[in-house]
Amino acid sequence: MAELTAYLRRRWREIYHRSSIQVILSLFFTAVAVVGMVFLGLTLFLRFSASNNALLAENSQRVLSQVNLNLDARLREMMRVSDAAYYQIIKDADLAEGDISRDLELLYYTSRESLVSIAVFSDSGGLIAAAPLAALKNSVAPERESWFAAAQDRIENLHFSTPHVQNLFVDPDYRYRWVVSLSRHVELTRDGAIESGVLLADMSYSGIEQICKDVDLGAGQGGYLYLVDGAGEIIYHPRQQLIYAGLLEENNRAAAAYADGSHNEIFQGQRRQVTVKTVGYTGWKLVGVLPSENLWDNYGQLLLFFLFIVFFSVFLLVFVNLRLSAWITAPMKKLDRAVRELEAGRETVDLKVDGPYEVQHLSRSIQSMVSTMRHLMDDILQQEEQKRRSELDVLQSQINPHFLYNTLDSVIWMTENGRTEDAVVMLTSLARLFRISLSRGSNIITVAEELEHARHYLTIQKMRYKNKFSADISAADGVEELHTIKLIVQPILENAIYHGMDYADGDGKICINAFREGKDVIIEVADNGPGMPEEVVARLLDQGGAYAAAGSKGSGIGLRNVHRRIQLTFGREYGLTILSEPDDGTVVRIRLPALDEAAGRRYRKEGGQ
Amino acid sequence: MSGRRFTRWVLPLLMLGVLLLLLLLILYPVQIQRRPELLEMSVIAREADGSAWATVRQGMEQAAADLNVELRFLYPGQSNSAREQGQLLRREVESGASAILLFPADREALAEEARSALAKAALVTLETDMEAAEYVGVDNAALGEALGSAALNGARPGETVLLVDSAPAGSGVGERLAAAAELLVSEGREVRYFTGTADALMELLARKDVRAVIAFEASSLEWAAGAVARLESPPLLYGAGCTAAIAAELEQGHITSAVAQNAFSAGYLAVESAARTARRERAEALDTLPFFTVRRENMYEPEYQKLLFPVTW
Repeated sequence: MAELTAYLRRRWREIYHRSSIQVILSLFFTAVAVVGMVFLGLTLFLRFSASNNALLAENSQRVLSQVNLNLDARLREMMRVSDAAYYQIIKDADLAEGDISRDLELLYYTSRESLVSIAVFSDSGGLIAAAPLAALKNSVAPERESWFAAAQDRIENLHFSTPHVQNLFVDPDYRYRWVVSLSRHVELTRDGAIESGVLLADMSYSGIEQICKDVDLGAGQGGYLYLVDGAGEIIYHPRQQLIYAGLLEENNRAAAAYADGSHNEIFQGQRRQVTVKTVGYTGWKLVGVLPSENLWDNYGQLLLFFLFIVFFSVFLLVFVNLRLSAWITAPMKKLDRAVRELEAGRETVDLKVDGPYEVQHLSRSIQSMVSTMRHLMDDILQQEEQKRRSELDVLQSQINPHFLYNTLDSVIWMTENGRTEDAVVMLTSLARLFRISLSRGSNIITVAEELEHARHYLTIQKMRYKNKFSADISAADGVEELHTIKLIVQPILENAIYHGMDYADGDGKICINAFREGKDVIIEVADNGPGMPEEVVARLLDQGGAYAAAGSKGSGIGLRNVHRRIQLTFGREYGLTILSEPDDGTVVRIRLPALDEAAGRRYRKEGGQ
Repeated sequence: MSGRRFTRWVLPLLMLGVLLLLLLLILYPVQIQRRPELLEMSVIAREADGSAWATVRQGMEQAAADLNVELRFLYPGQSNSAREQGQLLRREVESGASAILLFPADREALAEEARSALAKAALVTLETDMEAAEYVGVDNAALGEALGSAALNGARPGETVLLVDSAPAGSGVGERLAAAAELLVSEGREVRYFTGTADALMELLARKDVRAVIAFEASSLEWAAGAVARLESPPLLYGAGCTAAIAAELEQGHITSAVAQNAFSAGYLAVESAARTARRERAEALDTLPFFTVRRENMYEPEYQKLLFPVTW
């Protein structure tokens, strides 16, 4: 469980971090609204279904009351017929003097809608009078019938029997009719003497059916009504014959035990709402049945309706929430976009965002931060540039004192030895050398000037080294007009002379060749000196290596200075490449971008800055 | 399609579509009543209309009302005519009846027609079972044996029992007769068969050499009872059926005992079974229906009252 919680929490955090504010807002708005709606919907639904149940129960009770009234009226009518037969016919008649059959027949015809037959029996079960059929079957014994016994047992009451087939009288049409018998004890007068007897009035079943059959317990709910006696014996049921045939069962025995009112029962796996009403005098019970399945069927439809409403509202809310959250988060998104653009390096970004107070404040803060940051960055850039310039100046300035000392030393030596012409040549070359070196303060000169600078340097050095070596300078067409940073060949020549020509005996050779290679310019300085092993070559340009730190003569500091200057100026793809093999000379290649005048001017300007 | 365009245009449109759909569903009228489509069902009887099958018909009509079935009752011009029944069956199938209830007069003679009918309609037989179709009714052999057993009580060994042969041997009634005859013969009673009218039966019985008579269906039992009633010293009469006339004859002692089935149930179940088959609903296989032996002494007992006298309003 704890693992699951941790997993869910982790997943939620992942989703939370991956999602935008708009999505989170939409989700939360929707979730809260859905929970609210479901709660509200369920509450309403449950409330509605409870009210509906109560209304249906109330309706059933009202209907049953009405049926009860009708049934009671019908039973009272039967009782009135019985009373009329007894008090108006039997009581007034002396059986020894006259026949009451005709009076009974008249009574029958006035009430034949509800009567099947009416008969008077003696205490021993003998037929005294009957209508409409007057002949008793040979096979029957009325005194053994239950209605007869009931009348004799409780003489003060009227007794309604359970439904049974009337089989007392001979019917030429073989009609066997279901009846409910109303029997009572009567006093018969014969020759002035009082005898006991039984009055039987058979009530037509159709009278009950008419009252009960079209009762609607709820529009289209599949409800029905049935009638049972006190023992639960069915008197009327809309599907009575199916029950008698055993094709259907009814919970009539249990219903007979219910008190008046509405009850819920489960019968044959079906939940039903049962409403019971006792019919006054008889003790019969009217039972209204409303299958809950049908109610729930309707509730199901209602629930479906609610669900559709909820779904409809959810979709509507998702739609509205998306737009709403988009509107709320728009300033933040705009700010986010602006910051992203800023991150991407865009110069002009509009950080001014209109929106709620917090967002405006955030916008202003970011603007202020960006402004501050830009100033700081400019300062840093300026400082960096100054540092670079200083470094370049330092690197460049490392050449001059070194060389000047040696040259002036040679001029002194020549003058002392009377070689004034040579001294003049050397000083002229030195003057030219310095003129080019100064170049009116510019660090960018043409390749031609750089090569001239190299030539004057070589002139001076050749004189110093007593022509131990020869030199050749050449340039491909169009290369001399191109521009380069100044004083990049001289340090290489210096290295070539010190390390390659020092031990030469007039056969030393230094060749300088400038040419184009694609968009680059290559100035190649080759000597036929002793060369170097590979590891020495590898260390020569190593800025942080032990050689670099040494700073002594022959340590290659001049080469590294040139290499660093070129890379600082043009980028890391340019600089020096040294190719050397022991006893096979050395070639130093200077790779520069091919700068025309305009490009050279731009670099000159940057350098000036 | 870019995600931005989807969010801005397609998603709202989709959601509006769903909203519209839900709105339509909400406004769609709620269907409360569920009643199956009306089903036309033909009932082909074995003999002309009469009181003998009033209760069966009552059960059928009750089921028809419950299951939304329209019944059409067809009677052959001549009772027990399998040929005529075959023609009626063919005609009903051709006219597109969805379901047919048949009281076969002769199972062998109608076998081919029944097989053809089954391919196009739901077919349920009553009274006589057929191999191909669903059957609703009693176990005829058992019923015949019950009648035979009842007659064994009245006819001593060596005495004659007359069996009223009122239907073809290939029918359920014929099956009852065969079973009763077999039992009676095996128990040492002499068995004779009678085919004819009520008057001929009365003449035959007037010779007083028959101890008991058995009729195997309601109509023959009714007229046999009528014949017996006219005799001064009638033989014992046993039979199958439950009509008001039979009840009256039973009550008057003209019929010694009657074996009855619940005809209302048979009619109801037959219509229900055929309707379910026609509507391709799942229906459980039906068992044979029970039957009861009713005598004058017990006919008004509550259970037998309900069986013999259907509730009519």
